Amino acid sequence: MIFCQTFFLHVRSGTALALLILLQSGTGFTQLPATAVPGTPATVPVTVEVVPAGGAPGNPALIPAAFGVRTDREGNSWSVERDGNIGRIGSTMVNSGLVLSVNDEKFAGFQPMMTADGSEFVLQGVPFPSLPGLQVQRRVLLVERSGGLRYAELFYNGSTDPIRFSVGLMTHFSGNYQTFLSDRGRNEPVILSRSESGIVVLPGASQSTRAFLFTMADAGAEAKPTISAQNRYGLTFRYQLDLAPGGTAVIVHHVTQVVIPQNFDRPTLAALTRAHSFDTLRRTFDADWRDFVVNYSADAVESRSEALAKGGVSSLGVSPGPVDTLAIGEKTRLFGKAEGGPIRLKGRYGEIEIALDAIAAISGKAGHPGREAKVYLRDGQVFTGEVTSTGLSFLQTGGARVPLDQGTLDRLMMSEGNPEGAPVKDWMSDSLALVETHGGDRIKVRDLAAFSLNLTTPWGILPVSLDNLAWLRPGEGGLPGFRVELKDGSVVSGLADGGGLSLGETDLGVIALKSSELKSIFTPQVSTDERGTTPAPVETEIRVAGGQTLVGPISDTTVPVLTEGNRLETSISDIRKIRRLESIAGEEPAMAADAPAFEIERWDGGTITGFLGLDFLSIEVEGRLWLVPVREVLEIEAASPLLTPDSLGKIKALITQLAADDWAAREEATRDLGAFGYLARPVLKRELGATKDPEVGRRIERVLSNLN
Amino acid sequence: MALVKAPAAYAQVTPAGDPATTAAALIKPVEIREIPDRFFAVQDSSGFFWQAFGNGALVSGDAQYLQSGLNLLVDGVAFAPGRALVREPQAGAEKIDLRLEEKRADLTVSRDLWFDTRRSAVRVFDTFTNTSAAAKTVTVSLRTTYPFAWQSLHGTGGGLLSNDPALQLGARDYSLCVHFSPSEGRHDTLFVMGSEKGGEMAELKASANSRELTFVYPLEIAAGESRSLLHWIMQRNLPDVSQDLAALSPFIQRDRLIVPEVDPNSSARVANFAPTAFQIEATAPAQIKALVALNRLTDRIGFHRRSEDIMWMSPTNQIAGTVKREGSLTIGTAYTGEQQALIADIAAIRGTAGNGRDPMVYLRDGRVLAGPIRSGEIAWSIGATTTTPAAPALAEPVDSAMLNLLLLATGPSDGVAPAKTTHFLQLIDGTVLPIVASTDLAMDLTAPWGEEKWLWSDLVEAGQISLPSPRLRVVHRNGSEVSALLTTGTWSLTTAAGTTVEIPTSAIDRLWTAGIAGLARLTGNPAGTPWLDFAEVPKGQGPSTGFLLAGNQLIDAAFAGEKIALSEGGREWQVETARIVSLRRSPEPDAHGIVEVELDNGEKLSGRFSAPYLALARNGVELEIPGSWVLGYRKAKP
Repeated sequence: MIFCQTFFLHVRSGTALALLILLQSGTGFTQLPATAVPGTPATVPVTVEVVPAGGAPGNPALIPAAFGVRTDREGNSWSVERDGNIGRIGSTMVNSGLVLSVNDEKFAGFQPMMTADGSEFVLQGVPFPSLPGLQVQRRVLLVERSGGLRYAELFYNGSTDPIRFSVGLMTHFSGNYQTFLSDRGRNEPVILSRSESGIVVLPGASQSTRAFLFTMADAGAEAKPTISAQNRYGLTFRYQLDLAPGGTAVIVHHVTQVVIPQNFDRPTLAALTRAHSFDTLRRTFDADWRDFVVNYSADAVESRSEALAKGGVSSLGVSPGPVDTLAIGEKTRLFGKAEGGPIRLKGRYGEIEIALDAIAAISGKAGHPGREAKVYLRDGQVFTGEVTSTGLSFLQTGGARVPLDQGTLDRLMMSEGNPEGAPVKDWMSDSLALVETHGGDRIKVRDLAAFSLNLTTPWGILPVSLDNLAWLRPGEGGLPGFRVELKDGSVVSGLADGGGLSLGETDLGVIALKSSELKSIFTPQVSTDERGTTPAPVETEIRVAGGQTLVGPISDTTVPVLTEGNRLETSISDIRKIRRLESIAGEEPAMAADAPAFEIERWDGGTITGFLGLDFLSIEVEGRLWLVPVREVLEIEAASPLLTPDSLGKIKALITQLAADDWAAREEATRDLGAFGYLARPVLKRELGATKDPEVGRRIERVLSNLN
Repeated sequence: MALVKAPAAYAQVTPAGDPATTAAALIKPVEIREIPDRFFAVQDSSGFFWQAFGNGALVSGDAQYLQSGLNLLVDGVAFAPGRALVREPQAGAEKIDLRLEEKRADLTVSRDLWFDTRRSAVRVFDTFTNTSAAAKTVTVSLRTTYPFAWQSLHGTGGGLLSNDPALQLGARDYSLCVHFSPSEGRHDTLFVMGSEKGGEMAELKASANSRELTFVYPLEIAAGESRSLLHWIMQRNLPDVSQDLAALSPFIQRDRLIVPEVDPNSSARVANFAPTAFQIEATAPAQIKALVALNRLTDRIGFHRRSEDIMWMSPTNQIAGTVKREGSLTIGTAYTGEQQALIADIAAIRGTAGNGRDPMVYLRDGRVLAGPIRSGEIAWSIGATTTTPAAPALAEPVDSAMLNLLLLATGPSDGVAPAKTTHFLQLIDGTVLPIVASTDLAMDLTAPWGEEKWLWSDLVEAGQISLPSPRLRVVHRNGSEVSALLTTGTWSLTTAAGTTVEIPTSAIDRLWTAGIAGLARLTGNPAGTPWLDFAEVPKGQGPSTGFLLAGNQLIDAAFAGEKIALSEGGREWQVETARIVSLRRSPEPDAHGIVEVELDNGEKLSGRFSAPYLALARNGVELEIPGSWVLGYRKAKP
């Protein structure tokens, strides 16, 4: 009998989440590639090796699941059942936990699998009759460090229609729980607020010695579940999902058992939940699906286009139409034509007179004398301040005229498009950047020479010019400070130095901003989040703590690598990649906490594992030499060194030799090509696609696979 | 990376000069003559509940776990105290304890229970005084019962105890673990039973249904004399019973009890521990705490440095011995050149354990010298300890390249900073320098609102934190705590030795004031979890009057303007800033941007800042801060 099963499976082919069909037949598994999830790189044919139980940890291959009680480092025991539910264990307060349902139909797993080290279950669901095409997979991971179970619920819409459905996670308790609190101390919330991420459920009298902590979303995420209680013996978390055809969505959540808090104040609850926050859980997210997580905000950082829209005219909540719109409050909308002008605005940074034709919208004070009026220009600029105008009025379509003044005006939205019919010119057409302030002003910058901003970083000053800037935005999570993306791919966090920012001559005159006034700088340059693919580095990229990337050459010519007591002076030019390790065999973890270990890949294919025998790396960034502490380095990827003509000639000659008549000569050429390591890879890859000689192809594949 | 903190695991000592804790230590126990069925309930820091029955037996509160722990029977008769001295948790005492006493015809029995909530265990100290005129032998039984059967019993290190031919502890077992099946979902009980070497071992008895475990001690007591038994009992969730050593290490390490709170005069009478288990520390804990860098290391490895020389190889592998105190080492340091250290002045040496890195020499005065050892030799004798001098042992040189950690015995010079030292500066390579800072020495910082100068004399501490990106967390004496960046450059500093050192700012890891009391208050989480309200800021942190800004920035500042404008729902009103006693962000969902303002008459208002910026007065300077950064304000009560 042939048994067919569909899986989302981790396949390391780029970042693709590949959908594979496994066919089980008798003695083992074979596998055929199926349709890739649209929007992801195409799936390449992959062979999944089925390893016996107890296979190497970290091997992505799956083995049939073995269920039983597992105990985490916090000493909490967990019984995960074949549907991914938490089973009852002894005196714990949960009878049956996190039962998954989709539109109230229970998830039923079949042919459960797990990773070779047994730490993660991969449970594929049988199809839901009412939702044809929806494929669901649960991934349940025993979290090694902080304890508990991390769930990833994967949904894929394989149909040709969009699907809207609700996802329920139901937990039944062994008795009446006492109450539940959000991690911000709110009692029995029905929905989590912006800053809340989960709930702690307190056991009833003598029910258990531990409370259950459910983390249901990242604090900053938009997608948060509702919470419904069933007579104090059950809780259901419910998420709403919309999936486009071919779309994938992942809901991540976590459960653990914690000490019953003695106090329910915010610091106590914060301490309780900190270890299980999404920031901590993030390291358990698989690269193949982490981009699809809907209840996590950190990866969904506001894009440049979203940030541009947020402070622009679209933020007024009134859509421009064929005629002008006068909006008063939530409901009142009058249509007609604004007349009069010009508008005179006296703002924080200067005065300006603006013709009505140049204006896209005006928001007035609407009865709030402390508020500033805002004038939105058609080119994207926004000016705040006191607005005066003689004879500004709104002529309604019916003929009635409404005089307009900034004190009472709510919002005036001008008609879409340029009144004279000419194409609308945005700020990119005649300026180098658009600078946004915390006060809401958006000012075009044209003066390349006058623009000056120095960013203080932990390693030195970064001079920011409009030549090198792609985007400057506020620190993530609302933190003061800036995140700067440069055109070369550098991403650096820092603070503006005391000198602030000089904009030079603008429409408001010469402007110098204080550092606390600056919010964002947009340039026409496409930012890194909009580039899509990640090309091979053309310069050395150094990824450091805080999600930062430094791009520039390492000035040290050699680095000492300490491995097993040996000191190997390694030339920087020989290093292809340096990757930080969580731990190193033989090293007492507590002693090694302040000295990270690294794995070093050489261009010749060799690897070294050990410690770097220096405290700093010298990195040249924007013409300045920065000393970056080694302990902050996460990864270094060197740009591919250029092949010298001599080396290229030798490689080509060796490839020719792969087709030699003499077997020994072919073998020798294969071996010698391997000695070139990664340097030979581009040439070998090109030849692999070009050769028609099957043996040459096989030999090239062998050399390449040894490199991998 | 956390900021400097005092060792917590062993911090059973009142910090000097803290009036609140000193008062807590002085709270006297209350005498009770009518013994209740149950005394107060306590929850320890690991979350487990404890309560004592009227007969002194322990129970796990209302939780169905420990039915009766270490129930005391003397000569087969249950302990029936007639008097109790109680210090309940609600009394505010630093120590929660209970002393019970029973007078029999020729015997006085007392039980002293100390609920050590910080270390999550109860110390049970039973004393038997022979009040007759003749020597006698009493049989003491300590019975523990459970409502459910245990799975197995284990000795120290997790070794399974067998019933065949009789249940007994192994020769080197000093603890016992009652292990329940993980499928039962019940945690384990651990007992500290006695010394590894010396002391009477309990005879064990277990019921056939695996629910009752009894320790039996026959004690011979001379006329008019007393004998005692000491046990620690703790509840733990161990992923594996072999991890019991880590759970036991805060209580007993290397056959020495750690802070058992036993009167030194009583320790010699304890039957189940060798007298050497009660080692009296010669060095005041406050002195040990002053060795901030070394404490961070020993805290991390979970080891308690005390008055003996220890070669630490791993958490389960240490050996005592003696380091020869004569001679000196010369260390080649990166920033101060070659430095000589007398071995007698060394508190610890962190070797390289074969990995090739440079060793670090921790001195008793708080300095740390990091770099290769150029000359000098460390001579080490295994076995002969400073406290138990054995037969003369052959001193052997220690290879620092292979050494993991050598801890030298605590001594009176520990924690005594070099003369004139005002601050300690730790560098990224681990070096700690004693610095003499003049009163006008300042550091230049870039804060989110601009540049600032902070006087060293105003600093409590500064340290690099790694979240969200590497930056310096600076703590001021007035409570301000700011995450900022050091203005890059080179610091020219004077060390306690009078020399000038040039330190690039990129090499600075942390800085703290020498001898300052209360470093333990800096254990907050400056960057991990954002504080949204002053209520979330740990008690004692933050300025008495000031603002909480986004990014956990706590600054002493006041409103610069006389009024601020708030608006909500089409209305706007002006609020006199002098009347504002607190301001916080609304905790309600979907109340983004709404602040709640409390006035001096108790009235509360809520609304949004009308203006995009808020003007603050700080150190005589007016700052304009985006309103979106302001999360809270509080004003000191007059």
